[in-house]
Amino acid sequence: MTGVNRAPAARRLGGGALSNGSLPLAAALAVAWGLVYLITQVIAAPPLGVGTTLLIGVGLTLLLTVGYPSALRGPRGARLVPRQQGKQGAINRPGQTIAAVGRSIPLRSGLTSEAAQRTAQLLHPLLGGDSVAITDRHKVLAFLGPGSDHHTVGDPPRTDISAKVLDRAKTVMVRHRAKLGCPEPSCPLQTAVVAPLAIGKRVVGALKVYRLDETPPPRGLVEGMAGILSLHLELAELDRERKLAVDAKLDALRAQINPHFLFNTLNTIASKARTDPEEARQLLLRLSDFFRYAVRQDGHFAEFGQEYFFVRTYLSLEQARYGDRLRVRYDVDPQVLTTNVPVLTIQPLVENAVKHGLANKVDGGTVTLKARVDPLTRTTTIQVSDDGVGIEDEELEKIVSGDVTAEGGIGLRNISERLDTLFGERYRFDVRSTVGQGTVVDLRIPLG
Amino acid sequence: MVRDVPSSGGDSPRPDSEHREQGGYDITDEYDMPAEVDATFRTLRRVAFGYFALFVVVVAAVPGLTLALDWWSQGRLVGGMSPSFVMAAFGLYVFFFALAVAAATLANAVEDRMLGGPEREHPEQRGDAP
Amino acid sequence: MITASIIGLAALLLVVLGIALVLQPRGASTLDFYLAGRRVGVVTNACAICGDYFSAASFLGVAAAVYVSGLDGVWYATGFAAGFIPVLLFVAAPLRRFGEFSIPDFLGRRLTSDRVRLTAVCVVQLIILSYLVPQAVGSGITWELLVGHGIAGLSPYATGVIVSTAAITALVALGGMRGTTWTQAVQFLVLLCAFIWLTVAAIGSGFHYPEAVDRLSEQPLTNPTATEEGQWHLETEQDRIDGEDPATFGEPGARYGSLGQFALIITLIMGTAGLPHIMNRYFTSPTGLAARMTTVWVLGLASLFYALAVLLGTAARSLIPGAAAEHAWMEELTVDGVLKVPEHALLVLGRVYGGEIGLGFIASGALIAVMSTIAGLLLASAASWGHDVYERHINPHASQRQAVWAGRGAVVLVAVLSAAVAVGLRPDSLTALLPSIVATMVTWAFALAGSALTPVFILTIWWQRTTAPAAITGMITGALTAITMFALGTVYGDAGLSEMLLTPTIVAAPLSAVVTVVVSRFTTTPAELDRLWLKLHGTAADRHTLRLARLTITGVTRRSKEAP
Repeated sequence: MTGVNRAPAARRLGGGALSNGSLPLAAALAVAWGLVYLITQVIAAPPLGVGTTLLIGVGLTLLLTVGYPSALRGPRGARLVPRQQGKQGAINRPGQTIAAVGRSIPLRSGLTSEAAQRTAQLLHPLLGGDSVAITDRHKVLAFLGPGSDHHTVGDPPRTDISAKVLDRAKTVMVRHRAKLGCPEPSCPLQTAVVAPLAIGKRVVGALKVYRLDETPPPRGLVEGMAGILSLHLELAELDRERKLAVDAKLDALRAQINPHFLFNTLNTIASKARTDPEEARQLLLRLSDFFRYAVRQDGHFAEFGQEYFFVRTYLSLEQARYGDRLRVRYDVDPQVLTTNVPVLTIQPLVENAVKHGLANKVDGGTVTLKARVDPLTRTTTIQVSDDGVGIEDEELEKIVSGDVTAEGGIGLRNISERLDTLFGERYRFDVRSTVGQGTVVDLRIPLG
Repeated sequence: MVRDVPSSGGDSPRPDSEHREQGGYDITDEYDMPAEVDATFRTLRRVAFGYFALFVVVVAAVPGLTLALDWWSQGRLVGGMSPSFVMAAFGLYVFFFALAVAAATLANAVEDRMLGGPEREHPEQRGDAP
Repeated sequence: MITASIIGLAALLLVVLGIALVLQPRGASTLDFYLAGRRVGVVTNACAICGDYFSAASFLGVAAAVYVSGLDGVWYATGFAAGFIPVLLFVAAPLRRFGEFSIPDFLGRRLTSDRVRLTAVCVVQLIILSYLVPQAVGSGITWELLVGHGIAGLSPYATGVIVSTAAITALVALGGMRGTTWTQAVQFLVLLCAFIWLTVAAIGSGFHYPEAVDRLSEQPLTNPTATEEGQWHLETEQDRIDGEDPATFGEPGARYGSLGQFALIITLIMGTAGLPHIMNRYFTSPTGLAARMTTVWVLGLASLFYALAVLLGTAARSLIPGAAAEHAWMEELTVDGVLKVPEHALLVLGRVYGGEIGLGFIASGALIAVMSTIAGLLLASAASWGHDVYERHINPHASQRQAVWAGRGAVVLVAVLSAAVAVGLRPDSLTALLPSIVATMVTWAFALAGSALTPVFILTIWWQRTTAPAAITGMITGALTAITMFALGTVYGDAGLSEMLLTPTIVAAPLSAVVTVVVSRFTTTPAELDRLWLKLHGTAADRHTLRLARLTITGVTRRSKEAP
């Protein structure tokens, strides 16, 4: 061996605690215990002893927990669409507490007319007013209660105080009908509390509560509720920004497919075209498969099986180029195949292993892709390792910190940033390398 | 005389080359890489032996529980059969079938995802599809 | 009286053959069969495998075993059905993908060795022979009950054996019974219909399954035995698990001790994967995927069949005492309401519920089961002699004609041998030693297949490092261990540890596997393993077949649209 045996350099690129609940598993366990009870205690005569029953139950529990992930498989085609934000139905439930409402505000998806309508319906019985309205800066998004005949949705806010609140970002209380400033003479609204909805310091709309009598609506309540709504809007904004950032990174990734790889492959194909036209044809097909996959991904997640296909396509092209110098070994748990993994994540890791680990090694080496599911912690583990030249400690430091994205390759930094936005703290991403012995990249993400 | 020679049959290096040009379609588009087949094979072996272990444990448990648990042959379930008789007369068959369906589905899904790719559109096909 | 049942039998056989010929799918349906995963193809093939698989042992033997020994007899049904689980998990898809025509051919090509092929041929012939004998015994028993008298001075039993074997041998040898998928499938459906009819009739006459089991389990299990003077009397079965207590119907122990139960189940489970006539059927599946799904269907159908067989065995035990009092003709068959030959159980039920026609129906079911299995076995035997030995080794330049004649000669030889052994075994002289003789004898074939073939078979498919010398040693070890243990078993009886001598797979199969692994370590694997592996476990050919079928179907439908 040429390399000096050193202690492996290890870096963590991100992540933290991992946890993921599993409702279906809990349900399956409940059913299993129910069946055991029914068969051994209710139907049977005489019933089975308590100890043995418990033993059977515990045995079944273990079996289900360990075997559970393999029970969820189906053939391709019956594939699940990657996770979608479920729409929250909100119906007018009078007995609801404010806290409960606060948790289920539909505004989480942003200040849209539809969301405002549902929010208004939800809040109407709680705010102690007769009419509730929500506006953004330019128009009424929702109006519920008396007066909705002329305070129509979609029009600009008709009362003067709206303008005042939107400008000053302060809650305004109106005790007289005249001060409301509604141009419609027959308007039944007498008093009002108008509170601004703000994202940070920027006022984006207003929450208005009207009453038909002289007593104005409770100011504190309206103000508080407006505060909660503002918080939700802020979260919605953050969500959107984060999504934009991830999209931008994904676009960058797609555009970044290594030109060197393309040139090398085309060269290989060109030289094979003379010696083995049939193989050249197959390589060309694989190359088109490769690009089709890279370009067509539009979600953030893909089934592992698809990513695996991408990796296989990539490696078969590289094998055509490197010949016997590149050996490949896949070690894949059946349960992993249908789990969702972040799209275009594994291939860059494999590409790095080929490029940095093996390309410079004279007698070549083996790239190993290992994928496992841990049913107990509900995590997917993906490990890409090579027995190549390894990476120097300082070099690793640079790669990890994102200073080097060697010759057009996709930096580990890009991947770890995307994982950050997708999983927050709920993932782990480690690189260990020993010079002369190879590199191991370890990725653990929640089972999805 | 018996000689230990490689068997007859003109196998060419590619497994499906014998089908080449069959039916007017060039079909060598479908092929497997040795590393992929090896991975699939090892995954399937894990699946097969896992299911086989479960199978052996459950089958052996039926006569086995007779020795360990009096209730198994003395107790009475629906209408008078003992749990062991119920298991031998119906339960095991249901189990076999469920196991077979689960194992076959899993094996098919594994092969489907670990070998070959998503259906490729064919130039010949695309043009004249109805 | 007898004439009616013979006419019924003949008519039914004609109808089955007629249906098979008339309904045989032609033309476009063959295309359907080519499409893996299409229900028709897979289910038809599954029915055909069942037709091959369900022999006299399944049709008469399982019910008989349940009739004689209660729960211990149920293990036969369990084991016969469970045998397809290893087939599904380990064998079906790779075997089909490798695409050879018989087990010896598969092993020979996989290990690139002719010695392996010849060893496998010998083992396969042994298995076929030990499977043929109980079938011939089954047909002899049926003849005895149905016709009752022999021809040309032979006993009715010997006549049955000789006539049925001769008839089927003639059919197979002349190429009249090619064992087409469709004929076998129809035969299976007839067997299933017979069981369903009996079940419906039994339940209609007030048979309540769980209560019957409960009632039968309350009293000791008794079976008739003949004394030396030819006097029959009932004897209580001893519980072989609990020692001195009498055995009961619903609890194990009537037939096997605690070790014997496991030994029997393991023997039956491991055996199916090594049965040549069943494995040969897998080559008719269009793809490995279809072979796998076919096995799932076989398991479903077999489960249904054996569940009914167990039910009918229980029904016979519970109903025949009552029927014996009513029907005069049962007097000579029974002793105090218990049958002398348990294989008669279903035939008697058939006669009780359907008179002469019912007896004829069940009898023809039994004969169909025997015939289809014998035909499958003889064909497998002919294929392995003609194809694996004659064409490859004796006369490599043989014409097609010569190979066929070699196969025919082998068929006649094997058939004569099996008939001779069957005639030599008088069943009622053996029932005392081996109750439910047909089912018991079939376990010999299962033991041999499971000990000698299945371990080597599974290792060659799932362990790359298996070598040719190792496979040969493994097969020989398995076969010799099984035969030796069995020979010892017949000498020492079947009590205590020696129980497993009669069902030796539990020892012989692990031994064979260990020997194979150890020898493999010291010898070299065949060259070009990668190529063999691509063929054995790769799905490229499958995908290709599927795509071709899809393209053809699109083409056909388009053409039929264009030309209305």
